[in-house]
Amino acid sequence: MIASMIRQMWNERKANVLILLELLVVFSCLLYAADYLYVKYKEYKQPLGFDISHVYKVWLGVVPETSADYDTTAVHTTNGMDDFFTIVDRLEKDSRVETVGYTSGNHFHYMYFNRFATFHGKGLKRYGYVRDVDPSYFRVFKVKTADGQSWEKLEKTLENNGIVVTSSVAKAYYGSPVEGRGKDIWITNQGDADSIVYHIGEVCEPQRYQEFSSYDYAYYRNLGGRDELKKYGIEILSGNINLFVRMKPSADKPELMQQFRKDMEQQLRLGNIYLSDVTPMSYYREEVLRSALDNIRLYVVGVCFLLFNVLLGVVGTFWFRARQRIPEIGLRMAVGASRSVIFIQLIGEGLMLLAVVTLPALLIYANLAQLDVLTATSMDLSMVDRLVYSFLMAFLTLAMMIVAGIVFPAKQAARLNPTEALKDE
Amino acid sequence: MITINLYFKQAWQLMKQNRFFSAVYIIGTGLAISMVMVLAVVYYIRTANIAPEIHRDRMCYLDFVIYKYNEGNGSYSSSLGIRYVKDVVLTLKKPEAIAITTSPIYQYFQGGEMFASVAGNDDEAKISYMGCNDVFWKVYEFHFLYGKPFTESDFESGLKTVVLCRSMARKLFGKEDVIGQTVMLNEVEYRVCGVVEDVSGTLEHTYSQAWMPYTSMSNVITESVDERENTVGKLQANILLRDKHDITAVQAELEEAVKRYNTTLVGGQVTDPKIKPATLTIMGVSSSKAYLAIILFLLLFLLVPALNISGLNASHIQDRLEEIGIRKAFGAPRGTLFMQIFVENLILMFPGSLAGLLFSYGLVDLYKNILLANSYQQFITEDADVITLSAGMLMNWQVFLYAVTVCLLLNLLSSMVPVWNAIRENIVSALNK
Repeated sequence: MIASMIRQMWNERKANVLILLELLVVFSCLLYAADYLYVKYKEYKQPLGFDISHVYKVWLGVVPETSADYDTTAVHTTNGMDDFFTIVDRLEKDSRVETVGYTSGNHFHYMYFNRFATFHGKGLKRYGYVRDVDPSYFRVFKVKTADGQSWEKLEKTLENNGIVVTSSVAKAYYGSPVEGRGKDIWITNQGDADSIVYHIGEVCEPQRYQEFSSYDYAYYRNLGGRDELKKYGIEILSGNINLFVRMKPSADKPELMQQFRKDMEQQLRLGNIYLSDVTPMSYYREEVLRSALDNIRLYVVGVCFLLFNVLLGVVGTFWFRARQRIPEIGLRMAVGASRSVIFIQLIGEGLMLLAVVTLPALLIYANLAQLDVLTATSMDLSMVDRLVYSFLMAFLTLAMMIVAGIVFPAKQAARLNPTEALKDE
Repeated sequence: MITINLYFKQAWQLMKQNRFFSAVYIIGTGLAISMVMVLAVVYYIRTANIAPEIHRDRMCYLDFVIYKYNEGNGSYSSSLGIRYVKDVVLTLKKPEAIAITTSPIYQYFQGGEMFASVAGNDDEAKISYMGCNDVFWKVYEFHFLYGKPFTESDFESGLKTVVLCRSMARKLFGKEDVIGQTVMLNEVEYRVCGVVEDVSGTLEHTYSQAWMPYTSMSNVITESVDERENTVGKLQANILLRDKHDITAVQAELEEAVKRYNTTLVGGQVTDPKIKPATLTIMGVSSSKAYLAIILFLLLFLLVPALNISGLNASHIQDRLEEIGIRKAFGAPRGTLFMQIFVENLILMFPGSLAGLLFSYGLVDLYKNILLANSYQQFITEDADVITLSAGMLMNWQVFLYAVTVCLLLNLLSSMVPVWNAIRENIVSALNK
């Protein structure tokens, strides 16, 4: 049967040239696009190193001294930061809140507020970030240690004035994440002239900014205890402190959050601090991911366009072909071919076309891979996996389109009445 | 005329006779045209003269200056400084006019946010702004609904006066005719001297919601004692050439002027001044790379459907071999036959093309934030709605011309080979069918 299909294809080689050419071009493009989508999917699926579900950013406003609303008789005689900590405590006491934490202005997931740092040692130099956070940060964002334990150890490390580095740092300097524990490391922080030795107390899981970015080199150090922070005025709240709450899952519903916001607006008006907004972290995530996802959507549109073209091309060619071959099909049926044999024969002819272009398309694709024009990624993905998956994806979707395109004309042909068909002869 | 009429009739009959073929054909062409037209429309919007940027074909830009310290290897580069503008840019004689503006990136990365408020309205509105000189209003053609632009003397004296866009005037005051009213911009009182039609965010050199003399913005014009700060700053020059080929002459004149300017500097030198022609940016990819991407896209999105339709034509023409044979037997010349089938296909293509063109408008609108945003706007997520499309951007003779060209090209690509093959076929074998 296969031999007859090949013969058939050879006999119609002239008519097949165009559809073969089209399949070849589309196949090569599909391979590229499938690889892109595979890489993006893999990037998306890698763990982030933090968890933002049920986490909200609490925006506090500070009444400026120049404003008419400025309260000069603010309750706290000592310092405005006391008001801030009262707010933190009040949030923590609320039955709907699971936990509260805060970071400095230079650490906020999905928002590119950064202070850079350079790691040194062993002849290696790595550029990354310094993140000043309160130990509670790990609790709110459920950051795990490198060996998968929960946040308590990380919190304790910061409380004991050690630093926490991400697995990427430990891996670069000590070979494996757990090896980094207890070691010393030289770091230069942005704005400082000299580097300082820090003691690594614990290593946390690898972290990155967002779903499509690579793992960062970063370290966490304690922002300073409450007494330390009270040395600053409340101006520090506008932009230099980020306050987050993790809600209990049962309380994290839109209607309940509405109520929470309303309650907090009253409870958190303290001295010259007021609550300006409570924004879910998912909002920032969407903002950051929008352009990446838009790009993926463009690829999908392009792929759909090409596939639809293949469908049209196949439908068109095979419809005419089936019609022109009515006498032949009639004859086959007259000599005993069943309807399903005719149907399978036509589908087989279509797939044979795909089989013919597979090798050249793979050659083109291999050349592209050689030229390094395939999608670049910082993720550690095996090239073999990429090739295999993108090939399977492209081949199967194309095969599906071809079958879908032939089903209709083939059905029509198989439904023929042999006597009708042979009338022409 | 009569023959064309005949072709029409025949094509219509064919379309009716062979509904399946026609449907596939129309959808196929529609798809091809829509994809290519998305590119064509984007290309048009990014490069054509669209008000207020009515001289894009004669514009070039100077928005970058490198200040190299004499000591050490350090250098400092950014937009143009206030003294550099005065002593170098404005001394150029070759260009027709030079508009100076704060660089569009400036307000996002250096200038900070601006909030506008009006007495009696508690809401503060975040506003995008641009400082410019009076020539700006001559280089660009804004549609003034009320009032006038600020004048040269207003500019020279650093008068606190502002031109607002229509939507911002409405948002702040609740009405559009607000000439003479005052608005607080970051707590500084400005008087409104004009209201203009909104500008789409895709016109990066003019887009803003408020335009004021940059001489009224204290953080822009404050001359510091440091010559580096006066050389490298926050401004850019949008230069209108007398003729678009003048750019090399202006470049030479600029280099002369910089040489003169360098003699007045003590701590460093300005190096490599470079005037940039208008560049095409699509999806954050600019200039030559963008052209390459367009060509690749065109090839792919025109070639694949062309192959497709070509295959359809080849099959279809098999059905008509008898007809062609008979006509040839009666002496029809090849040219006539070719022309007839070509026109028939073209007519068949028409409904698909029209649908494709409309579909492409939909696609451009859907993806305008990726297709039409400038490279820096892509960083600024909160301004997602600044890119607006007007009817004139989508429907104009250039775009229609592109569409017709694409159609012809597609048709030529797709019907040439099969038709030619059919016509060359032997009369006898054709009649034998």
